Amino acid sequence: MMRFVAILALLFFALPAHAQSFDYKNFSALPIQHEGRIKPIDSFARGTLEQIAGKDSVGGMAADAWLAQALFDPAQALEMPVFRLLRPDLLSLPARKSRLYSYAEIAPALLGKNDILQKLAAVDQQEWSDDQRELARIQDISVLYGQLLRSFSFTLKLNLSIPESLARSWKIDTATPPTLMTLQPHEGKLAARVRQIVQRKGGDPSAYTQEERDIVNFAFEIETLKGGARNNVILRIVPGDPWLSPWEAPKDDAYLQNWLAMAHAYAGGDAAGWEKATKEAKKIAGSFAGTDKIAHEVLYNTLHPLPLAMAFYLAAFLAFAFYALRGADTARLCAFSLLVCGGLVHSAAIILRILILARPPVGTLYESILFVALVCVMAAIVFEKIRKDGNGIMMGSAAGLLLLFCARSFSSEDSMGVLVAVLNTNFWLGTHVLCITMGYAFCLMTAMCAHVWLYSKARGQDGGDMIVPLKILAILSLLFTAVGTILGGIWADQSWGRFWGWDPKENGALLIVLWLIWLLHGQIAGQLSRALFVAGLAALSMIVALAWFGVNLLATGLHSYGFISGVAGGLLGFCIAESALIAWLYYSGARKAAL
Amino acid sequence: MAEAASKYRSLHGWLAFIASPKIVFYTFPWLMILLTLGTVAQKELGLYAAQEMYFSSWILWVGPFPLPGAYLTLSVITFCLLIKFLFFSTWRWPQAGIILTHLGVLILLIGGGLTAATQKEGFIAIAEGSEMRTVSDYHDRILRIEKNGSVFADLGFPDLQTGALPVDLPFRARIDSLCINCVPAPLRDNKGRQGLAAEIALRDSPPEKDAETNLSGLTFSITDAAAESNGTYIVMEEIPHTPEVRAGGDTYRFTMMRAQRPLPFGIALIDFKRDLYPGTDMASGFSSAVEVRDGGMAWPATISMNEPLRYKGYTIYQASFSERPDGEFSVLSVVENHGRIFPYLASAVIFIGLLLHLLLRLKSARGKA
Repeated sequence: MMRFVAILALLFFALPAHAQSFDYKNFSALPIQHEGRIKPIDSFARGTLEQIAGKDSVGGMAADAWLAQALFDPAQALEMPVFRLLRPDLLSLPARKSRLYSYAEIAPALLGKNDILQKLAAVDQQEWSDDQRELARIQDISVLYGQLLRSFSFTLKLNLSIPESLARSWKIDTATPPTLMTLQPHEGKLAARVRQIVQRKGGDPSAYTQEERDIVNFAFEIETLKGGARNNVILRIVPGDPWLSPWEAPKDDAYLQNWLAMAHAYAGGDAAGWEKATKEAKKIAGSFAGTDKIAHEVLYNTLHPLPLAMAFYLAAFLAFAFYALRGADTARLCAFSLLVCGGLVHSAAIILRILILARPPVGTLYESILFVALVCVMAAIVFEKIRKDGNGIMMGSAAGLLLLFCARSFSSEDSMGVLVAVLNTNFWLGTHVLCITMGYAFCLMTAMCAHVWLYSKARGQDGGDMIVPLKILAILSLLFTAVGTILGGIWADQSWGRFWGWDPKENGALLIVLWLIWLLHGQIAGQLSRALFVAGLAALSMIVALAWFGVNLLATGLHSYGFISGVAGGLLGFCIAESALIAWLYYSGARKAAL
Repeated sequence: MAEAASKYRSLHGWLAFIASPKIVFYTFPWLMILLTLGTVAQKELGLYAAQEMYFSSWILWVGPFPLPGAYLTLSVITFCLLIKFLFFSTWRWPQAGIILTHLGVLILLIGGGLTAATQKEGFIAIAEGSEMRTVSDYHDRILRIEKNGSVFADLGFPDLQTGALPVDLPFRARIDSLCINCVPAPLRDNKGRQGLAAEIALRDSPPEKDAETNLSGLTFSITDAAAESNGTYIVMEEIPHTPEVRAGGDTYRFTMMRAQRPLPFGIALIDFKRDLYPGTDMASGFSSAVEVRDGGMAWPATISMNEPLRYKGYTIYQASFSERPDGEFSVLSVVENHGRIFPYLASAVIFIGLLLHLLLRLKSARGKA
């Protein structure tokens, strides 16, 4: 790696910085096959930069501009502080406010940790300490970045002199810097020349003449550059099965030629040439199979619909707060309109994801949060439309905002990744998964509605008119969770050979169903007072959180694709806070009723 | 007459109590506690052991104290619900949703009981080009002894203990040690050891949480057989090495394996396919092209993820695959379940019941408004 850094720094000409003057619109819409699916360069650039820098822009450069620099101007990219290090002390690097470090700083420091990293590879990842995990992460992202820097290294101008005798015999003009591609036709002759020198004078360079030393060094450096790029498949941009990286693709491929023209234009700071080459490449790429969803994904990336929906929900909540304080009906209408706008943008995001992924909207934990948030918002809109008391706005905006905020913690670099084999079925994703996630959403709405009732009682008000909608919401929750759970059992019967296996995920869903049945029957039997019944419904939020996220922490059972870690503290904190809130509201209400 | 009426009233009172929602109120918290404890316990005990302890038991022993297990709790709930459904349902239209839902739950519970009582699970690990007519159990192990290629005895692993092997053989066989989860260990002295036992020993290691991943084995000694066959041997699951002992002109082969059940037809694996997402090593699907052979007939079929093969009451699923020293194997899960129709029926009835109840509630709420 160190050798590669040195060669990159010494051999490639650093180009004048001109990233800002280029238009990356066409470039970002070009297709790439990455992690099993075809996506736009824009998604690839954002995901990769997110992985390395922890954000999707760096040093004033958007992700696509950053990627273009890494591909076409690696000498500059080498010095660019782009690696976000949480523990720079692990590499003996000084602490820095931005926490960003360059490849040139990291690579030599990582070299000193080679022994540790090699030993680490033999240890089970479960047993790694936090420091070891961070070290391995830095190693992974530095390898990734190194691969990016080498993706087009064959076409970049080398800051390297061709020994004079070679230039003469190969009839190469030494005034023009060579590239690995221009040197390719002479590789055989160079190898023969080196063999000849070694055969004649042996392996000790001290016996060589200056000219011979230059030739051997030149051959060594060329071989190092090529060796570093072999098996470099990070940038699969040329269609095939699978798609090919620039190093793998035939160099006379018409589409690759467009990419080379882009590299050439970038190197020359030729904005018009860049525009022409990227436009032409986009036109050709439009005919490739499997690229029909690229435009949707670019639109999704550009619009940022989920942060936009969050902004609407926040505005709706603030407008509701104003309405709650001042009682102005205009504020309620304004809040309701903002909630509806948020819901529409949120729906557009989910529809775009369905179109891009060509499958139902929920396949991962992240997607389940997006969907549950949308169902909550839609249910709240209906609730508000019927009751017109502001409670629907409060519940919908709070649920939308909080859930979308939580979803950010569960989003990976590519939030549209491919699914594991057992989930690769649109029928069950469209039935069981949607049914159970709708059940979660209705449970959350029920819990929020119950909180509102408890709050009214705590303030000494009569929450009686909320009881009927509460019961209806509870039955809706039971309908969707019960049917969703049974459908899950039928899916398990289809794919694993048993309807019920007492797997943690199954038990979590069953727990919600049992809790709801217990509350409803407790109320019918007269064993639960109205206040206790509602407090039990309020506690649904905790039961759902445990069934939805908590069981995944156990990391056991057949639902291995859903395992998560690192949220136990948050979940525990939520359950403690929620229990305290429900208990406080319940006892305040009981005290007020007794007065 | 009065006595009979009093008895009837008393019986009716009892039945009314059994059918009351109070039963749900008192049994469900216990069921939820069992569910939570059994789920959390899976982390430490593993799926199978936790299920056996909490969910597949009539009595849950907490130290010396017997508590109701899941079977007992669910049986009580089923019985009470049956009484409620048969004798205390309010057969009126506004209650139609509740009655249907109760019926759906009854179907689910009765089907669950039938499945628990009759379901048999196992697997077939099959290599391309080979045919299987037996199903291996996930948990039970046996020591199989074959005489001249035919099964001579199958000894259940739990019945084995150190000492003389409990089977009539023309030589003396003695078990020196057993291990539920064996790992190969270096050998200090190979004197008198035969075959693989001359290279390694077996050491017991703590059982895995997932009981089916344990590899059981044993070390045994043979005396009074043909001179070249006397000595100490090892036998362990998954190791293709099978010791052979010659005595009186016959050859006896020892194999440690999963308990076998016959399959009333044959399954031959023609081709196993593992499809990958392009450019990655992540599987997008697994499938086994098989040939079903029954009597003189044979026909092709494909078993893939979420697409099992059903034949003669057996359902055969694509479970996984394994790469072993002797090749790649497709692992098919085989289930014989006479209650599998019940959940399908129950889900439809419960859905209709709850939906109807919801609509009737909405109608009633609107009427009141």
